[in-house]
Amino acid sequence: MIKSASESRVARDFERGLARAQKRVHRAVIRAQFAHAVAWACRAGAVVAGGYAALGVVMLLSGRAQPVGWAVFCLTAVGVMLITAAIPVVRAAVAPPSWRESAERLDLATADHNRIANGLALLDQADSPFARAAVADGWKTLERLHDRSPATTDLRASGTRPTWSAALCIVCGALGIALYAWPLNPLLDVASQGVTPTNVALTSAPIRNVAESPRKTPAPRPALRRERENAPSEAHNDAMIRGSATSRNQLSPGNPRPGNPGVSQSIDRPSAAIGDASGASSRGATRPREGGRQANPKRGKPAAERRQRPLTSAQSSSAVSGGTMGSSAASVIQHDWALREQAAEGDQEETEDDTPIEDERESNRQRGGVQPSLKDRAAAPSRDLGISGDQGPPGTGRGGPTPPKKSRGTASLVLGVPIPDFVRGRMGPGTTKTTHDRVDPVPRDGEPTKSVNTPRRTLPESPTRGELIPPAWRQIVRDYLVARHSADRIAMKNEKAKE
Amino acid sequence: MNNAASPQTIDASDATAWAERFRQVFDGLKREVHKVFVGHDALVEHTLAVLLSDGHILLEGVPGLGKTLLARTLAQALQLKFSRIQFTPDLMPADIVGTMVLHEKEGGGHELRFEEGPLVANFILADEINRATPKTQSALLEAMQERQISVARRTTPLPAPFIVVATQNPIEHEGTYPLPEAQLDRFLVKLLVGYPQENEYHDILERTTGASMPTIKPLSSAEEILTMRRIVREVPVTKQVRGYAIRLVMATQPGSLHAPAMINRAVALGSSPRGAQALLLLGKVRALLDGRFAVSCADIRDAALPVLRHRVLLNFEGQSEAIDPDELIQAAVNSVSELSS
Repeated sequence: MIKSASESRVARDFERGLARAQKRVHRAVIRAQFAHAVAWACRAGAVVAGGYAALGVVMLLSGRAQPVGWAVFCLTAVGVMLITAAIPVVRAAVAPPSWRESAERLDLATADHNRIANGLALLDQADSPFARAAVADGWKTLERLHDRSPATTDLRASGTRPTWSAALCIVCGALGIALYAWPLNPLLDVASQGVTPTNVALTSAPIRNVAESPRKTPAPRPALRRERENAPSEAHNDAMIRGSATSRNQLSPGNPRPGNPGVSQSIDRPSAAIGDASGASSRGATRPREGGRQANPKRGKPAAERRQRPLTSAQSSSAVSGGTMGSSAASVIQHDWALREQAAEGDQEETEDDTPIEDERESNRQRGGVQPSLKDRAAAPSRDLGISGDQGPPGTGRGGPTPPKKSRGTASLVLGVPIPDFVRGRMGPGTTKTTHDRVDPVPRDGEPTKSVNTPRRTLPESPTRGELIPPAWRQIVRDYLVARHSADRIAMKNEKAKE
Repeated sequence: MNNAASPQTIDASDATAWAERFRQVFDGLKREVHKVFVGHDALVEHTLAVLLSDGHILLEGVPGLGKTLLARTLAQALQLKFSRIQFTPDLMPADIVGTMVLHEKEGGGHELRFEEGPLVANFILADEINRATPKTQSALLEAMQERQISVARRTTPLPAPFIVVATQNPIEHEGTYPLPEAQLDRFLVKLLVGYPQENEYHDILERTTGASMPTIKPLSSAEEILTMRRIVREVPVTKQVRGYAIRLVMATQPGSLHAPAMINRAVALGSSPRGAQALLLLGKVRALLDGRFAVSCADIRDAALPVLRHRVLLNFEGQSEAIDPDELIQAAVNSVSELSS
């Protein structure tokens, strides 16, 4: 429908009248968005700083250099926070509230029966006399109240408090700054110190123990035994364990250590390490599968636990990743085989253990013959009590008796006594014949019943059934009800007094 | 189409005249009813508002408060065909709807003729409706909604206007049957009749124990009532107010988006769309009575209690805690915002 000129003018008049209210609502919306902006900025800052902190921790643990400096970290985090904070504020600033919202908020503040919003909304229904009257009424109200402030309390209340996100942002930021700006050189220096073959062997020694623990270990090679004896102390061993990850970084492929030709291969190429391991096994190491079969997991468990206890996370991670030194390549493979063997044994045990449980469950499910066994898919035996069963294949002229039929129950055990499993009979046996005889009443001897005087009812007529309450309890119940009633009356009086 | 150039010159004379006429009829009826029925201004206003917005009324209160008197006085003031049905436990549907009766023809032979029951009238006073069994109560379902009755293959339209004013004692009283939900939903409002004030007792006793009783003058007719109803329907409702009524009705439905925690906890069944229709109709009457030409959210709020209190069904938790449905509706009103966005 095309708006007439008068309607357009009325609409323009309404907009002029609502301009001030719209500005105030707009300012309130922008103010409300500031709280949202702070919350979102804190969240974004927490995400960025947390990501950088996680990356820094990973880099630190892996012994690599930090990818960015502290300046980049700070600039990125602050920049993301600023952009995230600016988006809702700019969006609110660019899009002013609608005339309708301004009118509704002005009505809400004046509490004058939505006259302004109704008038504005009914502009396009000017063919109805009531709508025209409502528009005129709305305009009068707007002229009178256009200077009032619109209701914006709900906008203020909707602001979120960025407590948690701010705390998270601060924590992640501090962690990031500590990682990127704090001089962590001492730790890095310790980590980057030259790793001797002895240290490397020490690092890998517990891994071998883990691999060998659940089974009979083959006799350690003399070189490995010597390396274990050369270990200076447990403390030194721990320090080197911590630095094992970083030491791997120091051992560049271009500088293979003497006597350990497989070092660089085992670090950077696990497949090469496996190849080395196959060589090691061919040199006389016991085949891992045999060792696994000989192992008794229950008997070997305490020893394995004892050996696994000093294993650190760095060791375990290196063992799992297969990134150990070349000298321990065979042990890595053994460890891998042992793990597989253990897993296989565990699976076997589970399978053996599961079968009776499954059978028990199955039998429980079928108990009472409620459900047929799914495992028993054979055809049910024929219950036909005939002389012969199926005939032979057609056209061959052959046939003859089939094997004896299975039948059910005790009846079939008694030869020649057919016992049907149903009862013959008639549903309706027919009408019953009734005969009437006229017999005169005959008096019988006996004492006549004595009449009793019924006493007049003494209980009061009341909706409360007092006779249901035992006499001993009557006073207690009455006291209780009176006390409760008086308490209610006091409460009502207090409420009225408050009002 | 009006060609006014500015809002100040918009011609609203028709609407103003109609609204003025509406108020005059309303005030006249109210004055006439108050000649006999003392006090309870809000109750009388709500009753007349429902009457003029094409609805049915359920009056609830303890015996002796004047429920029947209010309905009877209103019927006298309206000059409509009045029918009073006393609901008793042995009342059957055929007793109020009507039944086929065997008549003897003049020329010999017999024929079945439909004998209308007392339900075929303009103004029905269903006195103590909850003393009859739900079977008989349900006989009113078709009449109240479709304004017709069906017996055998015969459907009889009921005369317009058709108003049912039912009175009932509180459900806790002896010998009462609760109304089915479908029956309750057909009443536009449920009004609670309370005890009169002390000064009102004087007037009551003076008017009812004296030698002469006040007489009621018939003021309105069926045509006038229908015209008033048309005026009520003309009052516009904006999208904002309609949305407010919808949200308010949805707030009484447990599990809905707008339902407050109290409703979710204590209500088993909320209001149906009939509740929203009733809110708007009563809101229109209130706007006209207030001299306005469009329904406001405040009108909807004022109508919320009588319209919604019988449409909210408490669950076990609500019943065990003896929660008043009015509290639940107040919670729903407090939780719904007027702003449409």
